[in-house]
Amino acid sequence: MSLIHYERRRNLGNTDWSKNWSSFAVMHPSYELGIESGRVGKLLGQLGHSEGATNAILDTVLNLPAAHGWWADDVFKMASGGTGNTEVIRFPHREVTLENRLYDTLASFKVRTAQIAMHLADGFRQRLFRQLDSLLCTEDWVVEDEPPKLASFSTFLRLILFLRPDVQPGLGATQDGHLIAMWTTSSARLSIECLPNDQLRWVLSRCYEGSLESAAGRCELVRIRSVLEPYNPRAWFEHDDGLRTP
Amino acid sequence: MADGDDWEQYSKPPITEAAVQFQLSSSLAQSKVEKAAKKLAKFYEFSDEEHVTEFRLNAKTGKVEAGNPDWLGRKLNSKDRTDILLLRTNSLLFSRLAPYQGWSEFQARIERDWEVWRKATGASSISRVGMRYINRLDIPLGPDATVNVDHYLNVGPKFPDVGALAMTGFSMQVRRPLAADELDLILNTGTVVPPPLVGNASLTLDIDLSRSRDLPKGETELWTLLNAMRSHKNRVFEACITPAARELFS
Repeated sequence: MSLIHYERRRNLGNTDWSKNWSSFAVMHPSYELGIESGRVGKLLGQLGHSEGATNAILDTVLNLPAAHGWWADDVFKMASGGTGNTEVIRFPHREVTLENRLYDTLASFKVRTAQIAMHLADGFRQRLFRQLDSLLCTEDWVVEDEPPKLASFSTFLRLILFLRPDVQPGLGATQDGHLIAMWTTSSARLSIECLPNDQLRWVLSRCYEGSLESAAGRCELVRIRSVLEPYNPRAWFEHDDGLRTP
Repeated sequence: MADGDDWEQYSKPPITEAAVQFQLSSSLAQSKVEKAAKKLAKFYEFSDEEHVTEFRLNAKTGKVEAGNPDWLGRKLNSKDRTDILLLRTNSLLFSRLAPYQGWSEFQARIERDWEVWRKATGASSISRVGMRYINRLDIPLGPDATVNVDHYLNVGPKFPDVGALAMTGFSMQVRRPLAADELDLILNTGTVVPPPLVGNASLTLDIDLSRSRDLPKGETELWTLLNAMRSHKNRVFEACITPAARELFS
């Protein structure tokens, strides 16, 4: 594993990345592993990976290298061979089918969850995985729909750790690959669509003194508590009021 | 100072990944690896065959040539994807993601799978043993939205007073042999960007130990070496963190 660092560094020394490859580099904090992500993404695209899958792969590689040893040890292993301007990169080869995409999406979500698993109650994690198994089931998936993106799932996990609700939300997905977290009581419903980069879209409805109120908006994740405050969010998030999840 | 056993009593261990790797002295045939994978598959929910395609990039011309897919190995996974076993023609890698369940459980899996692997492939000669633990400290930001690294880690970058503002990030690697058991240590530490938790800063403490000389010939010696490596790893970890860090995951 440590070999990569030096091999990569050697290549960085041989190649002027700023001129030849790229747009930007992603640095792994542990390895100083420079990956020219724009270039890598293009190559993965040639292999048939979608943009979402590419981002998931890069994200996973950068965050949990050893768990994906074929990336850490082999895929990004550079063979400079002393030629200076030529290098060899090896990428996973995988047939792109709906079944494979759902399989890879589910795997990447579970691996991503592992990154923050120390902050989750075990029961929460197990139920979340059951929900994901059900949501990303090949038999029930609408072929035209985009599997949820890892960036959306990341926002979802950050939302959960930010709100720390007693009540675990139900899970859904939009056609364009965003996860939806849902809390429902007998008289109120809250749906939060998790967009990439900590962006949220929310919709709620609830009964207030006998009449139905509804509201919707879009906000940064860190603002969600404040924007929901007028609607008594404790009714959804805390264990009282006979709450239930869908 | 907690010893190795106490260390695993932390209620929320900051380990994001634990890995042990055995590199073999000589490469095996694909058929032998497949045979071992078939026998080991009963312990894991998923068994994925892995292939790679090689691209050759020419920086001068910008041309890219793609080769044909090559067989790389097998990857076995538990249903929750936290237990991972990578089988290669020249190595075996055991990985455990968070939540870490302790050394006893990890060690038992390593011993179980190694036994099956050894019987199926006949390969037992090892050229390198590696152990790596990646820890991440998630630290709530203070009112001024900063974190003092020295408050949590006893290892970190030195920087002269040049009138600079607060450090926004760092990455550091230290390589040095340990004085015992002929182990090489690589320690990586740095900021994690972006931090996984809102309102937190995260620091990684990545401890990588390996031995490539005088490796054990028998299994008893191999497990003794792994236990020694784990003790050294714990000692390094405890020496690198402060009481304030311990409070984060105790």
